[in-house]
Amino acid sequence: MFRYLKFTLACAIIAAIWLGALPWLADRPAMRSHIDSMQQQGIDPSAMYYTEVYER
Amino acid sequence: MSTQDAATTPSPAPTPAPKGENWFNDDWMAVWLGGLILVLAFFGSFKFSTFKKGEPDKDGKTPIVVSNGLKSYVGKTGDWKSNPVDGFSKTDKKTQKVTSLAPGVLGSCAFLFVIFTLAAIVRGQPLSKFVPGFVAMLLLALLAYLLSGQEVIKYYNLEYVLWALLVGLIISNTIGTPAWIKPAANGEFYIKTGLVLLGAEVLFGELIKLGPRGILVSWVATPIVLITTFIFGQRILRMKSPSLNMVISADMSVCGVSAAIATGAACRAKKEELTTAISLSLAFTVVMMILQPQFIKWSGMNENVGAAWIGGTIDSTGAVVAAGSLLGDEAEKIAVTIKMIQNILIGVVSLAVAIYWVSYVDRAPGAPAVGVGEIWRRFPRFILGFAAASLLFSIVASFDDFHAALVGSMIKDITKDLRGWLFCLAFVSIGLETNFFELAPYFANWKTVTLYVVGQAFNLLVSFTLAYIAFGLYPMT
Repeated sequence: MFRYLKFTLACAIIAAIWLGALPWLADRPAMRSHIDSMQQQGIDPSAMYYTEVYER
Repeated sequence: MSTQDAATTPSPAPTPAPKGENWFNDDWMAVWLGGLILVLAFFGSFKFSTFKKGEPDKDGKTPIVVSNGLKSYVGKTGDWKSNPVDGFSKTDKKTQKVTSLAPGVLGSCAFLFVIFTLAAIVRGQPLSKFVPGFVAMLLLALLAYLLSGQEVIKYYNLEYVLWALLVGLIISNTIGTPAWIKPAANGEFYIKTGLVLLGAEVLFGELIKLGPRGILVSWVATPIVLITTFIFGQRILRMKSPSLNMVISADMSVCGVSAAIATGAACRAKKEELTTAISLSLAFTVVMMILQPQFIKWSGMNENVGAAWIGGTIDSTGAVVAAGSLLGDEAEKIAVTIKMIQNILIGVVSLAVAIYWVSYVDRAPGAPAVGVGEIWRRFPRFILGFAAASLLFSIVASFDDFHAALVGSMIKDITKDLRGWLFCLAFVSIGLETNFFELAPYFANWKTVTLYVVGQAFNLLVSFTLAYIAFGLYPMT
């Protein structure tokens, strides 16, 4: 039973970060400007290899 | 065993290779599956694409524009801000046209399902055990992709492998990995198959486009930093695990996560070692991606020198472009160029590491030199598939502009996304097989962080010197 409680807690933390904290952070002016700039240029900073870099 | 010991224990000695070749082991199956995927992708792209001449570029060359009919059936989820469902569609910023990404996600999953089910049949795995596990693996990989698509995560270079690991770790360390998933949680197999696909992206023809300045910065700095950092770890820090030492050295000096995966497979690094190296690299990359362009601007450094410096030092390819773009268009091009050359070095580095490992590292102390026959017997076979794919597609792309465009489309529209799914499946598997308590000593070990920090400091120095020689002493006209 305890392991399911741990699993639920972990999922709740993930949900709180991804659906609450990160969207809030995405709207902070400095972050927003970085994200908008990358999106406009079609750059994917999470690209692992050169073939993935440009999304345009 | 103390935490320090646990984190520095060398990888287990390789299992002696059987006398007869086992054509259906993980290595060879990765070669067959990777080869099959590449053949299907190449001929599929040829059959279902339209080719037309584009607008002449500034050099007067007319590029061939390929519209690949298979493109919309292969892909992954996109970015989103507050609603993960938005990750299943993409909005064009200029035209505001919305395109669904669901067919690409479904197509990729269905294709991989068919290919890996075929592999399970060939290897005599019971389908009743493999199929439910593989479907669950695909769903977990999809969840990892969705986590990695959140805007802040994506645009600050926190790559999907980290979230694939997290998804697996949460399950294995809370409810435990269900027994029915385990038959499909074969991380090494997915990594090796993904690396064969990556081989097709290592195109040597790209080097010619890049010029001697880029080659000077990349091809001189990278081997110097890689070898020096490895020697530093072995001789000064006395790290007990040479494979951990090598994976950290490679991801820091070559090109981040992709280099860590390739060299980790070549030297049979433990999953905890690969995880440590990748986590270290991503953490430092985020910091460098933000601070290095700011430092270059603040110091008044020549932008071209700064761009070459960024290209030579920031681990991750995407982060290099993001940082380079902050210095301007020309700087972005230079940074990308330098990183591309390092990307292509993955092939040479992995091959060299595999040969070095079977020749020297795996040899018992005091044992006589290993002969060619023994090297061949121990050599990881999937590296042959990786090298063959690189060589073959480099040759095909060199035929003419049409073939170059065809190979380019095959990679960008099909195989790079399939390779991404395979790496994502691999890291979900690694997470499912890993215990937090086994991982903790690696992060608590001061030697790994010292190795990275000292190696990166040396990399910054060497790359800056070469960038200054190539772009500062002889400015571009």
